[in-house]
Amino acid sequence: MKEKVIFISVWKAICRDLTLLPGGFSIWMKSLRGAFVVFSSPFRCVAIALLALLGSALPVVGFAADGEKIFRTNLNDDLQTIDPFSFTGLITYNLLSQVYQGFTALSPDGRVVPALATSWHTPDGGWTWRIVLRSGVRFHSGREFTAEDVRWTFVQLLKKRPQPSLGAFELRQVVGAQDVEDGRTEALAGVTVIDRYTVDVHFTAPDAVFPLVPFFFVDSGIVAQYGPDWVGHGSAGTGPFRLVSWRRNQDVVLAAHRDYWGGAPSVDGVRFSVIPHAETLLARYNSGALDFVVIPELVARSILNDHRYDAQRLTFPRSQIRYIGMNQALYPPFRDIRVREAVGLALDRDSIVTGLYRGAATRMDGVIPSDLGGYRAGNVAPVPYDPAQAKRLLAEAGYGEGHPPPPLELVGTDNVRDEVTVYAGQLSAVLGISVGVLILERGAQITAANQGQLPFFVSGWTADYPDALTVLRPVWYGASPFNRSRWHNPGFDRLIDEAETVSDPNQRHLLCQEAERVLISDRAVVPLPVPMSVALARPGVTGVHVLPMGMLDLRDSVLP
Amino acid sequence: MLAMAVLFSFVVSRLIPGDPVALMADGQGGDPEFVRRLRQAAGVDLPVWQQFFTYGMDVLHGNLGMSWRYGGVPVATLILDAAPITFPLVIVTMIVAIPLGIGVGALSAHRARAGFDIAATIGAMVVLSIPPVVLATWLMLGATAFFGQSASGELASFADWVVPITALVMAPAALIARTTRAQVLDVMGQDYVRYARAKGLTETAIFFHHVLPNVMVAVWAIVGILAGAVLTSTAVVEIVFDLPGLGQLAIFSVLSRDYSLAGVIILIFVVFQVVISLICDLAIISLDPRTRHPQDRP
Repeated sequence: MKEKVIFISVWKAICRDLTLLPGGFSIWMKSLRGAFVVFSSPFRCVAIALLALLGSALPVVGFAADGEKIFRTNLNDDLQTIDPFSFTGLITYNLLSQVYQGFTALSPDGRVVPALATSWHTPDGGWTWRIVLRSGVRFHSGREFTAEDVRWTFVQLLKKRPQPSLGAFELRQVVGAQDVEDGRTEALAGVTVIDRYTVDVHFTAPDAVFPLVPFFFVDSGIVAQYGPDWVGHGSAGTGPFRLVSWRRNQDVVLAAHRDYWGGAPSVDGVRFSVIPHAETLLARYNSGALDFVVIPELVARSILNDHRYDAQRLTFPRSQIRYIGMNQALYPPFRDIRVREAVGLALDRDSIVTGLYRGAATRMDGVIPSDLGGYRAGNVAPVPYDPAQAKRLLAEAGYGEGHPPPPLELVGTDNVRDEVTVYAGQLSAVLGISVGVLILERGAQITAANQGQLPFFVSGWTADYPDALTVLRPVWYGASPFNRSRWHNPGFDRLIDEAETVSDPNQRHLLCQEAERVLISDRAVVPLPVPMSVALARPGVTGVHVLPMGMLDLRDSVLP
Repeated sequence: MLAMAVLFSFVVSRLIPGDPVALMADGQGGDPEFVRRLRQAAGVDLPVWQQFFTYGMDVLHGNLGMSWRYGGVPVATLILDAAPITFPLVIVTMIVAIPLGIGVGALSAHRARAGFDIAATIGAMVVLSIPPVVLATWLMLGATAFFGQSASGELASFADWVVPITALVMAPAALIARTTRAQVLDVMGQDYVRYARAKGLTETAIFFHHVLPNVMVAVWAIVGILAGAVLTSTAVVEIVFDLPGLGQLAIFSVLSRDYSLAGVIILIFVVFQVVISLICDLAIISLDPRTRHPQDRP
C-alpha cells in the first residue's frame, strides 16, 4: 500500500511539473493521468499483463480466414522494387519470376525448358532469331499473350529511366535499340511481328544465347487499364502467381493464377515475409508461422548439424561457382605457375564438403557448374589434395625450406568466414606460407575485388542464364570489369569471343569447354566446393523446389 | 547542428568503402554499360563535392531525394512508411520506462540495502550489462518457446507490442532507477531535509515536497539522453522482431550504401534528439528555479 502511494505520488509530481510546460502538454498529461487511473491498481496491471501474454500465446493462424491455403515462406532481404522494368538484384528477380516469365525457364534439375516460347531457331548464326510463342497463354488480366506483348516489353525496357534493369542491356544489340533508348522513336526496328505467335528479332552482331535471357514479358494492355503508374496497382505477368501486395520490409503476397498455362498451382497463394535476421527466421519457423524457409548461408551450417531438423531439412544444388583468385600483379610469387598449382594441391577440398558441410556441398574441379549448358564431367582433371607435391612445386619455384614466399592474406566475406579460415590454415600448414584471414563487409569486398585490389581472395559468381558463358565471360575474360584476379590469356579471350557468336549450343559448349581447360591448365583459379541451398519444410509440405539459380518453384507445392 | 549532421552523414557515408551500384546488382551485372547507367541514375558518377552540393541544396529545399536501394522511390515515402512503427515504439517505451524507473529507484532508496533494493540493483546491473541485441534475441526466443509468439513482423495487436516494448524498456528503466536511487539517497542527507524533519513533517511529506522535486531535475536530464538512445536502439529491436521501422531501414540503407536514405534517417535521429533535449531542458527549468536566472546565482 505504501509503495502504491509513493508510486501514485511520483506520477502526480511528474504530471504537475509537466503541466507547467506550454499548453499542449497540459492536454497530453491530462490524457496520461486518465490512462493512469486504469493502471493504478497493481492487480489490474497484472491482469492486463496476463491478458497480453494470453493473447500472445494464441496459435499463429496458418491459413487465410476463409480457408484458403496460403503458402508461407521467407525472403532474406527486401525487394528493390516490383517494377519488372527496373529491378537489378537477384532477390527481386527471384520473386518476380513467380509473376513474370520469359521465352524459356529452368526445370528443377537446371535444364532449359520452353516457357512462353515453344521453339526458337536462327537461320544465320545468331544475326536473327525466330521465336514461336506459346498460344493460349493468359496474362493475369485475362488478356492473351501475343507477339505484340514481346515487342512492347522490349520497347519499355529500352525506354526505362532513370534506373534500367539488366534486361535492357540484353537488347542493346537489337537493331534500332539505340534509337529507342535515345527517345528518337518508339518503333523498335529489329523486332518484327510475323503473326500473333511468331516474332523475329534482328541483331547488329550475332547473339548466341538470346532465347535463354530471362526476360519478363509484361501485359501491353496494363497501361490502358491502370495508367502509367500501373506498378503497385496491377499484376501484369503470365506466371503461376499474380502480385497482390508488397509492404516494404514486411511481406509480398501473391495469389494463384487460375488460368496459368501450365496448370493452376495447388495452393491459393503465397506470402513471402521479409525476415533478414536468422534467429528471428528460425523462431518464426519453429513457432509454425512459416511453412518453408530458405536458410541464410550464415546459419546453414548450424542447421545441417542440428538433428532436430533432420526430417525437415532439404538441400538443393546451386548454379554458382566459388573460387580462390590469385592476382599475379599484386603478389609476384603467383606469376610462377608452380606456386599457383601448389596452392590448389595444398587444399583439402573434400574435407570441406564432408566436414564443414556434412556432404551438402558440391565439389568442383572446373568452373562450369554441372547444371549449366556446357558442363562436361571430366573436362578438366581433378586436382587432388597432395601436400608433398605442393611442397615440391613450391621448392622448385625457389620457395623451399627457410625461404617461404612473403606473407599474404586470404580475403573473404562473412558468409565464407569458416571456409576462408580453414583454407588459410591448410595453406600455412602445408606450404609454410604465413596466410592470414581478412573478412571484409560484403560491399567493401565487392568494390575492392572488382577494382583488382585483392591479391588473394575467395569470391563467387551466380549464373544469370543457363549457359557456361554466363560464368566464363564476366569472371575471366580479359577486359571484363568483374575479372577480379586480372588474369589475362589471349587464347581464352579468343575462345569466348568465338563462343558468343555461335548459336548452335553444341558447338558453343565445345568452345566453352576448351576455354575452361585453358583456364584450369594455367592454374589461374582454384575452384572451391559450392554449398547447396538449405531449406526447411514443415511436415506435410511437399513439391517445393529451390531452383539452381535460387528461385522457388512453387507450382506443385502442397500444404498439409 | 543540423548542418553539421548533414555534413557528417554525407562524409562518413562516402568514406565507407563499398560501391552502391555493385551492391544494387548483387555484386554482378556483367555489362560495363549497365554499371555506367546505374551510376548515372544513382548520381555517384559526379565528383564528391558536386554530390554534396546537390544533396545539401535538395535537403534545404525539402527534397529528400530518391532511394537507390528501392529503385528510385522517394525517401520521404520510405520515411513516412517506417516512422509509424518507430516513433510509437519510442514513445510507449519512454511512457513505461520513466514511471517504472522512478518508482523502482524511489522504492530502492526508501528501502536501501534491504531485499528489494539489492534485487533491484542486481537486476539493473544485469540489464545494463547485457548487449541490447542479446537481450532482444533472448526475449524473442523466450516468447516463441513459452508462448508460441514469434516476431510477427508487424504491430497489429496488443500482443505484438508486449515483447518488443519489454526489450526496449529494460535498459532505460534500469538507468532511470539507478539515477533516481542515487539522487534520493543524496537529497535525503541534505540539511533542508533534516530541517524538515526537525519541523515535524512526516516522511511521506518530506519525500514528496522536498526530495522528489530535486530528484526530478537529474531524472529529466537523463531522460533527454535516454530518449535519443532508445530511438537508435530501436534498430536492434526492429531487426530482431522483424519490424519495418526507421532503425531497420537505417541498417539496410547503410549496408546497401543508399546514401540519400541513410543521410535522411540520421538527420531525423538528430532532430529528434534536439527536440527531446529541448523538452527536457524546459522541464528542468520548470522544476528548478535556479536554472531560470543563472546570473542570480552566487
